[in-house]
Amino acid sequence: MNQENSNKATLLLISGELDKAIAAFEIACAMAAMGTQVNMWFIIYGINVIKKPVSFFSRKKWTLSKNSSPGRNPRTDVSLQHFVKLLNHDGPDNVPLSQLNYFGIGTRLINYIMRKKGSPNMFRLIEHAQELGVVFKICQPCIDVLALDVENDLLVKAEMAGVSTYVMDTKTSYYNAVF
Amino acid sequence: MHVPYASISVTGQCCPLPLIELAKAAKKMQPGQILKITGDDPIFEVSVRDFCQAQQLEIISVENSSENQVSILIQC
Repeated sequence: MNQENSNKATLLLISGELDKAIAAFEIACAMAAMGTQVNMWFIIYGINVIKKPVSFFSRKKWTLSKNSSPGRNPRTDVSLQHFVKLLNHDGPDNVPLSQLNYFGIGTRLINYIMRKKGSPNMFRLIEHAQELGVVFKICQPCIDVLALDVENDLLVKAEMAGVSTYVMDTKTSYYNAVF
Repeated sequence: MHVPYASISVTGQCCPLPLIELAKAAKKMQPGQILKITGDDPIFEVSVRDFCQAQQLEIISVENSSENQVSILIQC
C-alpha cells in the first residue's frame, strides 16, 4: 500500500513516563476516533504503562512467570531478572513524570490537576483506546527479558510481535512516531 | 427545523474526550440521522469540525449558548 494514501498510523512507546504515555494515548485515541487504523507498540519501559498494578509485597512481584506464556523461554532465565522486575513500576498510576517529579509525587499532582480540569485519567484513556479499536503490540524479546506474562499481567489484550512486524507496519503507515 | 435523533453532552470534559464520545455516538447512528453534541471546551468546535472533515459528515448548525457552551448539529 502506498504510504501517502494509507489510513494507518504506528506509534511506539519506549518511555515509562507519564507525560509521554499521556501524549501517546491521546494521539492514538484521537486518530482512532477520526477513522485511522492505529497500531501501538510497547517496548522496554513502555510496557510499564499498560501493566496491571501489583503490590511490592505480593508474590507475583518477586517471582518470574515460568508458565508457557507466549514469548517466554524460562530455560534461559537469569536471577538478575528478579531485580529488573522489582525495580520497574507497575501500572499507569505509578509511573513517574520525566521532569519535575517533585521527589516522587509528581504523578499524583498531575492526576489531581487533570481530574479537576475534566481530562480523562490513564486507566480511562487506555480503555477508550481499546474500545476505539487500537491494536496493542509488544516486542517479543522484551517479554522474555522482563519475564512478562502477556495474558495475565496486562490491562489490555496485546499481541506478541517482532521487529519485522514493526517494519512492515511503518512501511504501510502515513504517521510513524516514537515516544 | 432539524430534530436531532440523539444528543450527547461533553460539558466539563477535556480534549480528547469530545472526539472519543463523538466517534462512539456516530458509530451507532444510521445514515441520515441527526446528532446533537454540546460542549464547553475552548477547542470543542475545532475538534468537531476536524472530525466531520475526516469522516465526511455534514455540519448543519453551530449555536453558541451562554457560559461558553456550543451546540453542534451533525448529519450522519
